[in-house]
Amino acid sequence: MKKKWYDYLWLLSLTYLILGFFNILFAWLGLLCFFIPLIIAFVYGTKSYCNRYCGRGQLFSLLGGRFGLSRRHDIPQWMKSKAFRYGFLIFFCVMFLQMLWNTYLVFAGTADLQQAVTLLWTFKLPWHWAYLGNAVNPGAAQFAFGFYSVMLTSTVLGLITMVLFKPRSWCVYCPMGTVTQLICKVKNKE
Amino acid sequence: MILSQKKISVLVIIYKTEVLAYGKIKRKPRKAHVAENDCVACGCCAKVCPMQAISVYKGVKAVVDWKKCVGCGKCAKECPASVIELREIEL
Repeated sequence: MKKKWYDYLWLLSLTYLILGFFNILFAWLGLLCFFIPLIIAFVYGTKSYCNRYCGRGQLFSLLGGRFGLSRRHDIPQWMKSKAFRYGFLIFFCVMFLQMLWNTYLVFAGTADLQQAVTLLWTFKLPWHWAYLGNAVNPGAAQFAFGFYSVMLTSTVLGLITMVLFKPRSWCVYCPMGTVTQLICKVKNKE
Repeated sequence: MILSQKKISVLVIIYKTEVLAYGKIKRKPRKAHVAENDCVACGCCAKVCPMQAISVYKGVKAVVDWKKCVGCGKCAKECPASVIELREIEL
């Protein structure tokens, strides 16, 4: 089958992760991965973002499929249960709100900018080289650090489940996928 | 060519089991079946289907067109949630 332009979006995902290593402000671009699927789900009522345009999914299927970095085992039953998927979504949202709260504190001037990327919501990695000075409000930089943490954490989780189970296991419990499916369910019930 | 008695009896048995029984024990074709409740509608299955027989219906679940499905099992292998399996299905 002939490849279409959207079959190369994994390059964007990879570029995003690399750019964030050099300048954290590029992390703001990640908002596209949040808003585009939501807009598609709200306006068209489909999951064509997941089906076609998701660069991260393509990256996983490339690494796990083409490069064979996946055991290709079945994902355990509990990981595809509704309880786990919705639970992970709620956990993800709570962590996201906490990140927004930290950003607000820096914007308000009550907290200092933390030049670190938090991996898996626990491990603080030094990332100070990616912050090049005071060109922007420290709050905007704090959001960038927080958002990059979210993106890196989900990539690492996705990579772990890619190795253990099937290449795109992340898609099973991806919070964006769960949300867009919920939106589609509600929208198409009318 | 002269067939021995033994060879003829073997041929008769083959004829009876394979040819005469064919119409009676014919198996139904196997097709992809989606466990719709667990489907995450990611669309991985649609990407690998060589017959374009599977698609994501309104962002909710994957749906198989059994008229097009040839039961190759690529989608079942690809599905990250392993909710697709091949089943004997009567059209």
